[in-house]
Amino acid sequence: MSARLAVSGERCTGHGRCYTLATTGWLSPDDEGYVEVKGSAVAVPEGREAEAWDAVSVCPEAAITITEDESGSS
Amino acid sequence: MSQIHDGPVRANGSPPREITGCPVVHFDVAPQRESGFYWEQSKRLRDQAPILFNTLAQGFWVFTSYDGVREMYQRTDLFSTESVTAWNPEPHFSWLPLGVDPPEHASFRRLMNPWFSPAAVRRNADEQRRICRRYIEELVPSGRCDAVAEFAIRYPTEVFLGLMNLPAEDTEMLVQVVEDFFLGYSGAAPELAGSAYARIKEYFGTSLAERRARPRDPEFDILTYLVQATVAPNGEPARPLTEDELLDLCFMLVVAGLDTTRAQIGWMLYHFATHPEDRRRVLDDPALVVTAVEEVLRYYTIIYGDGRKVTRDEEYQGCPLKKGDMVYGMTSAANRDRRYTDPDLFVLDRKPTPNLAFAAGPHRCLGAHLARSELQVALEEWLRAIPDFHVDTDEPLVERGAQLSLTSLPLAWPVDRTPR
Repeated sequence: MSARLAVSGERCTGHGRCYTLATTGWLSPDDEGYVEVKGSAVAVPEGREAEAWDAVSVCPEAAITITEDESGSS
Repeated sequence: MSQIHDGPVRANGSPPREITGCPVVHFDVAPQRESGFYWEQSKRLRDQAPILFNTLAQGFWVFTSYDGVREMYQRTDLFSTESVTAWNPEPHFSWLPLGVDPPEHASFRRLMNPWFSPAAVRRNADEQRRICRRYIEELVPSGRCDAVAEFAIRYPTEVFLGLMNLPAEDTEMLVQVVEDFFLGYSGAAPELAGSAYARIKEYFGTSLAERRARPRDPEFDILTYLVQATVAPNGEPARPLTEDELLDLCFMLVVAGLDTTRAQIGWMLYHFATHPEDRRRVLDDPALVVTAVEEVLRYYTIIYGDGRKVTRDEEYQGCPLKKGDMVYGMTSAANRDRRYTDPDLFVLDRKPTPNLAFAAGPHRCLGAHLARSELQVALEEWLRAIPDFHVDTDEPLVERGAQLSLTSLPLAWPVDRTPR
């Protein structure tokens, strides 16, 4: 079972709290300061599930959701 | 703050109307007070109700909860930035991109984002540190200073001028104009706001004309970039920005970027001057600077509140909002919402929480990444040069309202006078 972190393209406004305060190196900003995965999803690296949930909780826009992907496919 | 229940309230012009659905109160937001007054007031309002109606000026709704203020920022269909000053529904100043609602907003915002992105801020970080260090090192030997006038105002202004590729020598001039604007805006000296507005526009009018005559590299010079850029709001064919749009963009950068950082740095130094235990912890563990700055932004929220204009009649949380009403989202109260553990305590290593210090929704503070960086640099460099300092007056400190800022912060520290 793996987790996926999704960022809403509508809600994300580029606060950058997910990539600066919650996670270590696996989320990064694009040229405008939005998280690169805005509008899509990314697999949460093995062992970083707690960071992923921190990203959810520090987002002022409630733009981030996590889904547990049981089949392993997306 | 007093409760008023007798008689109808004049809101949204005439005729007088009965306010229902929430407590009706009267409180000030702008005059100068003894420091701490305004946050005490927003705590009381937070504890009283999530929505209130303030009879100040023409009267406006007040949101105090985190969820309410966040919704005000996010729901631009109901809460417009046509005016962002709750006590002034017909603004004298045009803010760009702030004053434009989505979807048009995005075409202007997109121009500005790359210049204030995390990567752009990182490229500028050494310069921030160099400027910051120079101001502090000048102060060290005297053993005392007014940290607002001699540091907090000047450092971000000079950083800003560098980012704008404008002469550092203009720092003093810009400091004075911004001071005048906010003295006017907060009501302390209303006549100053208009002339400051005109002077800021004149300054950038000259700079923009110079860029048109002698363009610089638009990859490094924001004014040349803006002069050459095109926008396509409302799906119109792409066109260059008008002179008014260019000046409104520059005006917005100046008034949103300089007084805010000045105010926040003032409160940050005030905190560490009055909390030696927190100072010692950061000195022992510099990694705490990141959470310390986040907590400064949450606990000492300088944006007392933000205004929005209601776009249509709508029953909202039991309150009959009318088109044209103003709403005041109290960011300062929202950041002390009961959703936080011990909201009224400053917790140096508080686990990062979401807070609304940089607003939310499409108008989220453009300079947030820069401001964080400037604050972190300021705290690191101040503590490195002046590890032990205290407030150097027996008089109460004074804060200016609206955008909460210490008018002055006298600090003193031990000076090593042993001959070398």
